Amino acid sequence: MSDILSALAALYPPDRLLTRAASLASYESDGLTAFRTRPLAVVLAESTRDVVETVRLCHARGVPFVARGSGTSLSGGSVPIEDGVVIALNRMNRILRVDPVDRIAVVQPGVINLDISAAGEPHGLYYAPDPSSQSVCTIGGNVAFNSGGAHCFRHGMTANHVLGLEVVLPDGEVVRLGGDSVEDAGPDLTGLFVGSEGLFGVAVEITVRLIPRPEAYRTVLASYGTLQAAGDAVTRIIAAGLLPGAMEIMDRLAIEAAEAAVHAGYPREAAAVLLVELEGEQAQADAELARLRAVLEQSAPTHIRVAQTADERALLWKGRKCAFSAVGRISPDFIVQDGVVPRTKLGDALVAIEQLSAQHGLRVANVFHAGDGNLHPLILYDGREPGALERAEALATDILRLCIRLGGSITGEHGVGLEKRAFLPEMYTPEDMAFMQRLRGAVDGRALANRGKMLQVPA
Amino acid sequence: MSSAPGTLDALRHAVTASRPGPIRIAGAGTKGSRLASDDGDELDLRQLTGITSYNPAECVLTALAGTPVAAIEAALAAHQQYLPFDPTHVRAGGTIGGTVASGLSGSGRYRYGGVRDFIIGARVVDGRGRLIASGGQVVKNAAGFLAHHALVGSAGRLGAIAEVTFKVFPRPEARATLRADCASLPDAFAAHERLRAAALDLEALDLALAPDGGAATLWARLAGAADALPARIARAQALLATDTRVLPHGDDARVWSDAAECAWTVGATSLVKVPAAPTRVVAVTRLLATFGTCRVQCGGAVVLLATSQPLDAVHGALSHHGWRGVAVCGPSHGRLLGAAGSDAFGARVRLALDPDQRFH
Repeated sequence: MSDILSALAALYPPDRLLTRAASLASYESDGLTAFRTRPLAVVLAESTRDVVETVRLCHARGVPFVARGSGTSLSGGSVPIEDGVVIALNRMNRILRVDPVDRIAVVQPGVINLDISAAGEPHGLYYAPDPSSQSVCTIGGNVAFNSGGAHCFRHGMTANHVLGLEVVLPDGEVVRLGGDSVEDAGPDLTGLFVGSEGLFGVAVEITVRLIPRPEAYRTVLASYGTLQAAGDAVTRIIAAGLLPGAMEIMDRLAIEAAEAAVHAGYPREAAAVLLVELEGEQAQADAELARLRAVLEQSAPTHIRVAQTADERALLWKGRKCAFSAVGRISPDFIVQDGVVPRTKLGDALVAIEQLSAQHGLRVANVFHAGDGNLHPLILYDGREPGALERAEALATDILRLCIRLGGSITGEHGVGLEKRAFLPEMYTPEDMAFMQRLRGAVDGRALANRGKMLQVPA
Repeated sequence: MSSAPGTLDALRHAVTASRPGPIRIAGAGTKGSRLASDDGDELDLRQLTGITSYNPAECVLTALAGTPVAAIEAALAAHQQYLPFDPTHVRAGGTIGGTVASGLSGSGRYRYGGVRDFIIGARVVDGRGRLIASGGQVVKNAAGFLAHHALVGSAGRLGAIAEVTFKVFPRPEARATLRADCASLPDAFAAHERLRAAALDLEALDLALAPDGGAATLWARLAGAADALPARIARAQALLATDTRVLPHGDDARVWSDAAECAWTVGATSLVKVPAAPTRVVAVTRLLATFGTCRVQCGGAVVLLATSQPLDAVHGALSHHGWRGVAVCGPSHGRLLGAAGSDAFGARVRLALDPDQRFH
């Protein structure tokens, strides 16, 4: 073990090789603080060469490693591996190139998601995937976990916006996948690498697609007396042939929390609000707005509000975007769950979650990406109360099983990581799981890259 | 030997029971085949047909690999939905499995993306007859490896695609097409760039070059709400030279259906797809035009070449410039052309799916 440390010491100056308990502490966990592991060392990589050399050292010595960006993973995906090395990529945060004509950006993995959009802004371009943590999370982590956001039904997930990758495979070999075009020649290996949760190696250079900002947005908030009515409205919108950029629903508890935090002007007496955003050429957006209003008016809303200015639009979104952190104001602790159900089963899922909430005696606030059936139940509990965390976790587990039973997924965007590793085999057959292990084994025969995440380490 | 399994179990059995050696997967043959017809066992997937599930309210459709795309499009059209990546070779009888394997999208991919952007799950039979699922039936899913992505453009080399699941979209209420005949290539590319750079949400933006490469026709399609369309067309038209025509409704559909059939490639032996980007599309097109007839698609992100010349020559020319391409139709279906980097990752993926190199 000291062998790897001395080898790393030959590679990194002391200020970029952290081995003392005090300096390792902040790397022990990620956004999911329930998991905590002290690594052997953290290296602060500054170049592709640093990453390659580190991975080679680890491979030669059989030491597991995990790449880490801002550590915002909500599935324990970037938690260190015991006696392993953390390759911190935050210093690899340069935007290497923005090409406004080809509409691409070439970036290092430590670049913050929102900074890519900022770089595109002068050219009227932006990077579409917008996870809630976009002001802190890095693109490297987004690639590893195929991050989503509020616009996935129309715009897709990270996999649909990454065109090319330079990757350090788990044995240190460097390959390029894809390129700078939206089309590829040969199998879409870029698409396969995205979402591999670090198990296929480390992306050190990422080429993403930038898309033009829509000429117009039309943002509407509809309030409802029941959660079911809000869910039904979504079905009506799709049936009417509309293709909104985003459709978000928040329930009473989430509204209450958001209002307490940012005063977005959501009606506090509503059981649910539905936020719908249309986008496109102005003439088209206006035509769609007329259709949307007609659809919404038939969906028994208690209130409809159309944002009249960019500021009003921003405020409506602010309530939604801050919902997670706002819940902290109405509960000492909470767990964010991430599951998916087929959109038409949203109503069933919400009723079932309500029952589970009552059964476990815990409040659940619901915020979800209704356009794609992605639920984010926030399970509220008080960690000081004995057994409360266990009950909250049991409720979170029941919700996952509900998602599987309804034909959905155990994760829409947070990934499997450590948190949901035990549930992946409930969603896939033993044959599917065996294939995932074979694929992992073929790419990383020693199971060093982010060992123990997504898949059990084979005996 | 040839087998034509009609069920997933029969497909598994066909793979395990086949004699050692290469397996050649065949669909409707609209994009050609990869190996000489007498090389190895043939696995004909045309009997493996049918829409497994389609719930319009979910905007998700699952179909067995041998299902004709035309049948899928008809089922979707009955509910005013469509496959936005604009599949090709539909009238010719192309299958959905072949569509994924070729990775070829049509002109309409410009608006919302290609095959890779709409596939959300698949089942594949690997080289040892194992049925493997990846992804699922929901549009948002981050559980497990996205192995279905690797099937796009795999040309039958990774395994036998058995079933695929797509996200689908509501079909636009109305569509209209602009046609501009440009006397020279520079004129054509200039007009193309004006439209591309404008704040227009075009459904498709193609340049069809004349066989001699000297002139080109620009085709642009708009889609959306019927009442908004006239204003949007007028706006696009204002960016083009005077001899621009707006196609009447029926012609609009025919033009794009012909484009999807690759009708313009008639007489050529091979169709080659070269991924490009707007900043180099002129150079790529000029090079490819020396080998045959070209069509620039997707706002310059793709150049298609219909050629009867030996692909070795195209390969050499692409390599010289460091560009890549792939034969998507013809006797060398799936052949990669031009500059190649390390295939270390691809080789490992093949090892997992096809350890005995049955499909390679």
